[in-house]
Amino acid sequence: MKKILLIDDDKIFLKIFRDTIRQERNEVYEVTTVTGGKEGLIKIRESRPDLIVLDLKMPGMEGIDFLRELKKENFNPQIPILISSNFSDMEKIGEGIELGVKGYVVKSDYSLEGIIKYIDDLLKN
Amino acid sequence: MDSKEDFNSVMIHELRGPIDSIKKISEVMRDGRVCGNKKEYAEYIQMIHESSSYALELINNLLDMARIETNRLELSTRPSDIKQIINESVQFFDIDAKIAKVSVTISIEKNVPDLLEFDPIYIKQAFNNLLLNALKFTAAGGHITVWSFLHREGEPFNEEVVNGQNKLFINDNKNKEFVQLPDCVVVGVTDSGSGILEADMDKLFTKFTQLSSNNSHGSKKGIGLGLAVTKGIIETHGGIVGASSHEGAGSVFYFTINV
Repeated sequence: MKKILLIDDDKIFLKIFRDTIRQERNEVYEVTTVTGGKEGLIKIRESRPDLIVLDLKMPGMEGIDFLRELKKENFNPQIPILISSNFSDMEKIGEGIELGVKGYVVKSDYSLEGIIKYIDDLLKN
Repeated sequence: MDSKEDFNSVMIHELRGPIDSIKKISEVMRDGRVCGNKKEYAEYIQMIHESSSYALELINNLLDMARIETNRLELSTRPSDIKQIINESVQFFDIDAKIAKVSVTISIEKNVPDLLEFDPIYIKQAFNNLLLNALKFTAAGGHITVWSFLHREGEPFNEEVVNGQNKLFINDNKNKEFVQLPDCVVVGVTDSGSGILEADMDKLFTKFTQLSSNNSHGSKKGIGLGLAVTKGIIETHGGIVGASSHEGAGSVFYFTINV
C-alpha cells in the first residue's frame, strides 16, 4: 500500500479527501493528513511517504518554505510532491518546480476524482 | 501584504477555497461516493453550510472594506438599542455556538442607556465580526462572554464585566488609554480561546492579518478582514476599537460608541 501525506490547512478538503480515498482506493493508498508544513516535516521523519500532496498558502510555514526545508533533508530518492492549492501564483508554482515538485493542480480547476487520478499517474511513474 | 495586487491575489485564493469546497462536497454526494449513513450525510451538509457562510462573510466584508477605503460608507444613524442588537446577534449565532460546543453568556450593565445614536445595521455587523471571531478561535468546551457597560471619562476599565469568567487581560497601559476616553458605551467579547501572540497584536484590525498561529477550527481560517471592517465602521462612528490577549488564555475585543 502506498503512503500519501496530505499537507493542507483546509480541514474540509482533508476530510473529503480522506473519505473519498477510503471509499475509492481503500487497499491502495494510506492517507495521513496534517494542517501545516512543520507538522509535515515531523511526519516525514517518522515515516517516509511515497507521495506528498502540498498546499501553498498555509499559516506558519508556507508550502514553498516547507519545500526548502525538505530539500535540506536531502532524501534519496526524493519524495515526489504534488502541489494542490487554490493559490495560483505562477511565480510560487515555478519556484516549487525548481525545488523538485512533480506536478501542480489548482484545486478549483479539478474535481476530487481528477486530483486522485493525477495522484494515480504520479505514483504509477 | 501591502500592494493591491497582493491583496487581490490573496482574496481570490480565499474566495476560491470555500466555493471549491462546496463544489467538491456536492460532487462526491451527487456521485454517491460517500455519505453512506445519516451521520456522514449530516456532516457533509454541515460542511456545505460552513463553506457557504464563510464565502458570504468574505464577500460582505470585501464590499464593506471597499466602501470604507473609498470613504463611501454611508451611515444611517438613528436612536438605536445596543442591548437588542447584542441579544439578537447572540441568538443568531446560537446554533454555531452549540455546534462548536462553546457556551456564550451576556453581561450587560444596567447603566447602558436604552437608546444611542448609531447605524444599527453597521454596528450589528461590527459586533457580529467580533463574535464570529471569538467563535472561530475558541475550542470546544470554551466560553465566550459578551458584555457592555457605560464608561465615564476618567474611569478605568470595568474589569469585572470585561473579564467575566476569564482571566485578567487589561494591563495598566491599556487602562491609562481607557481613562482618557470620553463618555461612551463599551461593547466587547471576551473568549477563552487560544489567545494571540504578542507579535501578532499589531496586525489585528488591519486589512490583512495572517496570524503566526492558526488555531481556528472548521474550515474557517480567517484572514482578519472582519476585524478591519469592524474598525472602519466604528471609527466612522467616532469610536475606537481595541484588543487584549494572553497567549493560551484567551482574548478581549471591544469597541466604543460615543454617548
